[in-house]
Amino acid sequence: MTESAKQLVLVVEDEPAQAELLRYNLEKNGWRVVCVDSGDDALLMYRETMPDLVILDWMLPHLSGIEVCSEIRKNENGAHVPILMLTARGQEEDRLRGIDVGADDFIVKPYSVADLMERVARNLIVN
Amino acid sequence: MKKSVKSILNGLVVPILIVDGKMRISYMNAASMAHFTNAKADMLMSDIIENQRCLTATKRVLDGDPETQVEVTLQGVVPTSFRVNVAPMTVEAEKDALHAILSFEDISHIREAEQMRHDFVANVSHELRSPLTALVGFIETLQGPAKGDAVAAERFLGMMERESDRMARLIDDLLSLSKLQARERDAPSAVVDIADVINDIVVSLGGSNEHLRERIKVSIVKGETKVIGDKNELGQVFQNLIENAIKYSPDGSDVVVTACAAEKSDEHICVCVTDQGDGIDPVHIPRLTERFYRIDKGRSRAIGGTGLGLAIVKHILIHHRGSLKIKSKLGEGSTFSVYLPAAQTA
Ligand SMILES: Nc1ncnc2c1ncn2[C@@H]1O[C@H](COP(=O)(O)OP(=O)(O)OP(=O)(O)O)[C@@H](O)[C@H]1O
Ligand SMILES: [Mg+2]
Repeated sequence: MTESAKQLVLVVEDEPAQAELLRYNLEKNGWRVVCVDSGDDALLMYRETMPDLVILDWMLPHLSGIEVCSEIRKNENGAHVPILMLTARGQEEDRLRGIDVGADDFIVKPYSVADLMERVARNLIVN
Repeated sequence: MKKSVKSILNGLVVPILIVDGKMRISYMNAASMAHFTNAKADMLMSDIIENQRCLTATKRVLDGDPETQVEVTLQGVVPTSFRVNVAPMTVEAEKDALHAILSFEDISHIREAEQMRHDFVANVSHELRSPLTALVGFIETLQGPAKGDAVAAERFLGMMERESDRMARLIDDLLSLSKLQARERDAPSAVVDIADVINDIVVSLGGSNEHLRERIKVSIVKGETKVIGDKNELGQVFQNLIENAIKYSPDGSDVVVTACAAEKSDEHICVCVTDQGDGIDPVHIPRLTERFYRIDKGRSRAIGGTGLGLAIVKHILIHHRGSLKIKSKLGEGSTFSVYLPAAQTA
């Protein structure tokens, strides 16, 4: 926990309740959290804070999750940051497109918070 | 081909094409000419239909296979989905030589309806999944990581209440819509005074909120605005329109409700709800009555919208044989005008 305590997670989620849920749980696990509710803000915040991991909602207004993901990957500092995408059940094509643009993991809504936290931890350690 | 047979075929709205054993076009009816505008007699079928499945099916029938059907999308004047029936036929005048007769049933509207249903189901599940995800997550959090955290519990419960309200509202609106669609065929017949409907709405919207009630300026003369309609449904129409006018305009600005005989026709009454709000970009106007269409999703959700309000309005007005007109200018406000059949006053 001591090392991960310094690590920063960027949450991109336009549903305020879900953003709040993620924030509470991530902080409880000792990570620092910044939340934004749009793709445009995600890119700005990414450059500004250089997070250690990104949790990215697929369905965002304007810039979609997939566009944000590929933009972050193009960014020279963003080639290796772990990106976890939140998607809807049964959207297999989405998953394939997500892998294409370089997402590391997919979490299906509604998700188990404990499972999501485990995946965050695993991706942070691998990195 | 006999003249009478030709005139029968020309009377059909279904495009019909007859090809000979070498797949040359030997006959097209009028509907077929209208669809395949570049076709001439004696052309090869492949000159006007590039679709390989359609050509193969025709070839097989000419080789002795039984009647068959293929579904294809053809790039005519507009791309159209057809179910093509390919049947063998013999032509007496040509010593009973085997031909194929193709008839093209336009199934675009069926495909479109399927697509719409598919999109609708996808939208509904998305709209339900969001609050559900929050609820499931908060329950898990309250049972685990937040156990004993009274402050968090208080806050989460408030959010859970809002999310479950949202699900309930969504389900109510969906049921409302589906009931309306089932009733659309039979127009209402009761006489309703719009003035009464609007006054009831203003009272229930304003409630004890004096400030809100002040914002709604109604200038409708009772007795002069009788329409043929269903009181509850019309209540829903004006509740939605007035609520929108309030929601999408600055606090304190006026919302004006007026009624008059429609221009150029005394058979309709026009009721207008005018606000001094954000206004609407013209690109959005044609789509506003689509289910779940919202210009600013975050804003609509923050004020508790499902995005079904105007879709419900539209269907109620179809039921009433009325209509809705939207006029708006960005930054200056909007006017939603409802046209309803006037009750005969005599
Ligand atoms: N008077 C208005 N001024 C500006 N925008 C409007 C106005 N009325 C409607 N809109 C826009 O049209 C969208 C669709 O309206 P609609 O009433 O169908 O849904 P909603 O208000 O978001 O939710 P609901 O009515 O179901 O609670 C709104 O989200 C808003 O963006
Ligand atoms: Mg509304």
